[in-house]
Amino acid sequence: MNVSRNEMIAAVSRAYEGAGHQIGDYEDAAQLVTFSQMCGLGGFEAITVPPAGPKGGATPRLVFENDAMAVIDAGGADVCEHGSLAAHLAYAKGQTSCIATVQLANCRYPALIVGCLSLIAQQGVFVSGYWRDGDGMHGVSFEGGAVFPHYWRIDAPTNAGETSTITIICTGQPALLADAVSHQAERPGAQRLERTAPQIAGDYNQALEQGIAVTKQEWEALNAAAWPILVPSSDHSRAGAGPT
Amino acid sequence: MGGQKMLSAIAERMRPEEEVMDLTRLGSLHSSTLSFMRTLVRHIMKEEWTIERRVFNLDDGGHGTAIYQIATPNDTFSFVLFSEQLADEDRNDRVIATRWDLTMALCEGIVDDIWLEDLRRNVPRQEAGRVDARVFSLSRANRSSRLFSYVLDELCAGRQPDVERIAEVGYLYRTTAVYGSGKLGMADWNKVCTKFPDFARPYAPEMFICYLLRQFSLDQIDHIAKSRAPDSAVALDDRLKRFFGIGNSTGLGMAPYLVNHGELFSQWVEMRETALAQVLHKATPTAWRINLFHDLVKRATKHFAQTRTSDEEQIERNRVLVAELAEVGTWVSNRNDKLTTWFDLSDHAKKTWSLETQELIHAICMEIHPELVNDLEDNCTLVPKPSVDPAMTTARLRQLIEQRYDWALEIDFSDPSSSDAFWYRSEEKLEPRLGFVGADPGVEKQMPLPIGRRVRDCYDALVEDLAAHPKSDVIHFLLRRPSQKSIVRRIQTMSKHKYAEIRANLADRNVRPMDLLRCKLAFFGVSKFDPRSKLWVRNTMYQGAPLIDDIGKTYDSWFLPLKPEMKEAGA
Repeated sequence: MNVSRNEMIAAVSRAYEGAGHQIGDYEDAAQLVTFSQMCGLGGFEAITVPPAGPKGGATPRLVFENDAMAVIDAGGADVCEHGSLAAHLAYAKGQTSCIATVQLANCRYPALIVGCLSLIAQQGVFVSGYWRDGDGMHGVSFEGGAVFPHYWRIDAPTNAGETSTITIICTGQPALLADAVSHQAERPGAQRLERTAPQIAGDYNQALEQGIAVTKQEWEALNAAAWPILVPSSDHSRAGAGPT
Repeated sequence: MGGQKMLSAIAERMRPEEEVMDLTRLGSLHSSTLSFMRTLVRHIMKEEWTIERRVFNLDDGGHGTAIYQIATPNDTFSFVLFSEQLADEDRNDRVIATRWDLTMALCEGIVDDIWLEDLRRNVPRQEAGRVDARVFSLSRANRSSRLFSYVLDELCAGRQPDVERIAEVGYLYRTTAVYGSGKLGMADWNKVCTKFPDFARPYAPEMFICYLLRQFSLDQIDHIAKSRAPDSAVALDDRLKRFFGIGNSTGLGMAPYLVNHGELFSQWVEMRETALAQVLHKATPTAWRINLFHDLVKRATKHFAQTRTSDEEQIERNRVLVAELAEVGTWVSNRNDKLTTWFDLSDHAKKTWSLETQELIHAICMEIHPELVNDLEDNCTLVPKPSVDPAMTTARLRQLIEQRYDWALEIDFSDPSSSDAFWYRSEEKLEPRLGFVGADPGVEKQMPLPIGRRVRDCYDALVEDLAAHPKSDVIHFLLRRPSQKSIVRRIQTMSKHKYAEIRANLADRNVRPMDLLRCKLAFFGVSKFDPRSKLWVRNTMYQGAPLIDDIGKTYDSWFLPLKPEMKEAGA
């Protein structure tokens, strides 16, 4: 079955809310999961349904910081919880430093960072993100002002743990980012998969045009995950809505 | 007219946020020339859309399938309707209903037989069915038990129905929900607004499906009358047809929208206020315009005298409005050539008359200056961009809250009367409902609609944080207090807009959801507000609007629709 972008945003939001996440986090989850899924980067497929609860605790720990760098320990939390904060921190540092690097360590679902990076790239900065998971190494890079990234993956299956570290690089100087990307990406002989920004934009627009393909079972499971936030109905509660 | 350029030029003369965004005032708005239905009909008439009854397979009882094909200068669309027999006891206006007299879909392109069968399997089921991204809008409607049989009997007997009886209700069918924007598998709004210019304005597909529903209701009753009494039946008179609107029954489900889509709502308000500022400050009240104004005051007096409601408060509001309109006419007449701007009238109204009257005066002023107003209809769409400004200092954020959310900081949330109402989602179709602490279960599952209370929490956290970190910025505040991420994002985003938030405490024991409903419905362009409680309202859409057979011809204004003169139309 196909669902609309609007439906997926609403359903993921309710499911994360149902799992006990805070409002800013379930808002982020809805946007990040839907964006990645529409881009063909596997957002909805990446998360567990029903979503896991807020494992990392309320507060991310700022382990290290100077003018151009920072390390945040997410404490095992979802990217949907602290990913946008890490991206915003990189953006803020990139405004005052020539190039800024922020690492978000010990976080789940690192691939969902793409939506966070898109938001700051749209403000005119050049952004890259790198992470490793059980499939291998992944990278995305955004031109300044771009909505969609260039994505690459180097297949290197490992027994990665439940959490990963994401490295975000942000700069207003495209030459610096180009250097960073080439150094990260140069792996002669590696099994490399690439998808360009126009290809990803094409996937996104196709999902917008025709709907997002999901299985009925997954969709029902996602919607069922909202039950904890719904209030049982009664004759009395029906009166609290309108005509009876 | 360059929209954004004009917006900035007039900005200083626009009404202040604290005045405009007061919920009681918003709940007194009237439909205007910028309302979405008015805009849509202007486009239909100006561009001469072709609307044809391609399929009209109804039995003698009016049950069956109809397809109307629509050709615009840009695209072709199909309106597909299923009419089923429904027992009186099964007729229910609530979202939780499962069967309706009519169900319908507005579709992209031409619907072929295979697609039609798919629609037939799903559209009548509404929320229980699924459609695909070729469908823009889905709706359903129930017959007016008060009026339908009477009108049908009269037509069958060869008589036109009594206009007084029609005026008591105003419609043959009442729609109980209209869906769009990606619900139930439909086309996402981002697709509609980028690919289909005919519907690239807020709620345009939803407004159009209601326009065609009204047309079907008129076509259907003629069909049934002719089938039932082929020898005696007469067709409904066109003047009466135009006086029929489509009923609408709106409950709480509409209220959260205005809060959850704050940026978009702000844009609607800014568009309307820009139009108003243009008229109040830049238009000259010439003798001709003043005559138009007087004509519309008289029309308004009749319109509200003809409005029927059983709600005591609305009856009183209408009574005061009609009484004050007489004073308005006299005041303008007495000013004669001393009236140099319409602002003089608006300023006097603010000091003298009720909010209903003030806002009706504004709607009339906009109505008589379409040259300053109507182009703004293209400015009411916006792509929301909620964003955090991470480098803003926390001192500046505190200042921003104090400046833009002073209304929220004035509320004492420790007083139970300020915080014991809550909004929640029911297990029944996720229907939004209003509960009260101590009387209803579910407070722990409430929706985060009371923005004022969340701002207050954020402000308190910010003040505490500033004491420990006086030179900090927003991103570091959020790293220390990640639970504030959502409300900080909202405060920073909405503060970029001239009209940021609805200034009301939605957790207050005496909260009036009706004001939210009325406000949104005024932007839609409905008339004849008939509150049935403080939680739901009946109203009429498209009353007085041209029919599809009027397209390509001249047509009269349908602002403040009146009963037609029908002396010669009797049998």
